[in-house]
Amino acid sequence: MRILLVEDDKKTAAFIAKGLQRAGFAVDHAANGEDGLHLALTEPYDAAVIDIMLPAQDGLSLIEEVRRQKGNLPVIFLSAKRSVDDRVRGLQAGGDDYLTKPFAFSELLARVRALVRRASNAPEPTCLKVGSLSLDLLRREVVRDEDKLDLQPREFALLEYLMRHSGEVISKTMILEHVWGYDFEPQTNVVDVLVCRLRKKIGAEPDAQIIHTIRGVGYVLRES
Amino acid sequence: MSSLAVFGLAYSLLSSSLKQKDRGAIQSGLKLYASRYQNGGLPALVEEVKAPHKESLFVRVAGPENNTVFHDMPAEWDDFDLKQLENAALPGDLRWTYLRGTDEGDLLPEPDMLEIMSVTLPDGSLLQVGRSTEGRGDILEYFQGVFAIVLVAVLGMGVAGGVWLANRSLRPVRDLAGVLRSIRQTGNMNARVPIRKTGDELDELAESFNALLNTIESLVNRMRSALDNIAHDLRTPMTRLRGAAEIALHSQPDAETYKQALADCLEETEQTLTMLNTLMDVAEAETGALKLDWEEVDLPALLRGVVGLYEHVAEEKEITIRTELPARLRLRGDSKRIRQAVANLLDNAIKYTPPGGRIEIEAHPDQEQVSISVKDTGMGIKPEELPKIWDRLYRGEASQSQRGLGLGLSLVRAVTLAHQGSVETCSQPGQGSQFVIRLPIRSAD
Repeated sequence: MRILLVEDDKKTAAFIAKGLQRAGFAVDHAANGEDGLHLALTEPYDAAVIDIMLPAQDGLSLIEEVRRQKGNLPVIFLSAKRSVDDRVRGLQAGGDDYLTKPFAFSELLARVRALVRRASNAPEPTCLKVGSLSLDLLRREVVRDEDKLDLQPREFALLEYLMRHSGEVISKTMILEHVWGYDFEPQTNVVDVLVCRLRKKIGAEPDAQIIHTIRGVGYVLRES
Repeated sequence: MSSLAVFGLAYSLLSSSLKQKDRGAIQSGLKLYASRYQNGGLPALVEEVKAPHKESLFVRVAGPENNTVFHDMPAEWDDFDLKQLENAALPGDLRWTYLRGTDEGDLLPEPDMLEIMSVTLPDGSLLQVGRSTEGRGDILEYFQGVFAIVLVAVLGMGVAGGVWLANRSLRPVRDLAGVLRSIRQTGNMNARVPIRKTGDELDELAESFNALLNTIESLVNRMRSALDNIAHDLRTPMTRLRGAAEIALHSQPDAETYKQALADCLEETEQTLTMLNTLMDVAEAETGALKLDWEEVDLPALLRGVVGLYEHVAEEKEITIRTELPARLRLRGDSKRIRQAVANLLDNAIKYTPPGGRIEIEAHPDQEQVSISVKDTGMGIKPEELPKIWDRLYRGEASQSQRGLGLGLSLVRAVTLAHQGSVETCSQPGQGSQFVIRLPIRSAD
């Protein structure tokens, strides 16, 4: 998988490139819009991570130009602005994604993966399996070691989300967005509470837990 | 203009009355001399003429061929050529004839005239009595002179008064320009335009200008203090962040310690970011700059969503959340912001309600508004704390032990104000609190 990264801040670019490479992506970096456009037009990429505010040419017009000349390239836009531009909103509707700086790297990674997955049109699985845990999406049933678990809809949604991204770190923001459709963090940690309930229902010993807390970042579902 | 018209009227009145007077004198003189002539012939007339009279009159007696038999011309009017009378055709009885003066002739626009009335005496001779217009011309000339002086004076006064008036009425405009200039040059917003208390349009202008300056000044001050506060509020987490990193760096090199410190830093950063965003929202709303995404909001669905968010948290704490929502209630607003505000209220309610407590969420239309009420059976708020709860970063005694930034209610108020709504609270310590948000509907629905 090859990713184009267009970001003018060197340190930000370095940590994104490093993180993506560690996650198994090949990354090409351009420090301005012109170089970015040149790379995007000449090399094949699976996805792009593009800063909106760039010297020479802004990220939005860059991607518009790429689409005019070459066709679709899934994009995650990065922006330091809190308010979402209308043009970005239009692109979001078209399947592209948007992240506000500063962001958790795990979130960027998960979004890049989701983008690539969507673009590759992989067939939707009907059953997810992680270790002794299996989740049937059609019958909406979860079974652990032959035992059927009785989950509430939100607990089911959280488990499904974590299992789909097993091995990936999922931030609280992402859980809020996927399970509740919320894009702000309430003061009381509702995610913690839900994760806690889910853990109890999955019912493993504390040292055999499959949902792990990564302090300061989020959660990851991993086979123990 | 009006003084000219007054003068014109006075002049014509004066001139016609003078003419009447002169003509009256001529007519009475003519009558007198005619009767003298009839009674005593020419000598009696001459005698009468020589006798002193109030009015000077010209008298001429002519024979049937218009040859002058006798004439008497007062000394002051000697510039008439009497030959003209002899040469002229005989005037009719009791008709006015005029004899133009010779001296100044045509040079004057209104030369003196000898105004004469003639009568044919019974013996066929002609009696003519006349009077020079010189006298009344003099009076009129004098009058004109006086008027010219008066006119100049009036004009002068008018011009001076006009200049003074214009000066006086333009002074507020000059003051205004001066204040603007001083603010532009010094950046000092304290200057105000003086109000003259005349209640006219310019006073009104000055007043609204001052009001505008007040608004701008308070906006600038509020933004300045918001900026100061944000800078101050950021220093605290930054200190903690710095401290965590520094202590880890100075401690024994140990992977677990480092990991712990880094995790602390991450958490601190997250919290700082949340705080910065909320502070920005509150500051923007307080200065009236919070941008809302207006859309049609399905309020019951929104409230059910918020309750759903806290469902498990409430369950864990054994708190019952009861909702009473109409099937349909729509308003125009920013759904994300309203959701955030209600979530903050519910968050607080859950935080400060002991296990086994109850929270009620209601919404209903109220004339042009909707009211959203969040009521709990919690510890309540002390009366002395009530006014302070809306302040930024204020944390009441009870909340010190709770997680939070002291920005929740500030945001609730900020969002409500940005929607031109209101928020109020009533609370009984030990009984519970109720918060009511009122938002304008603004929808045809």
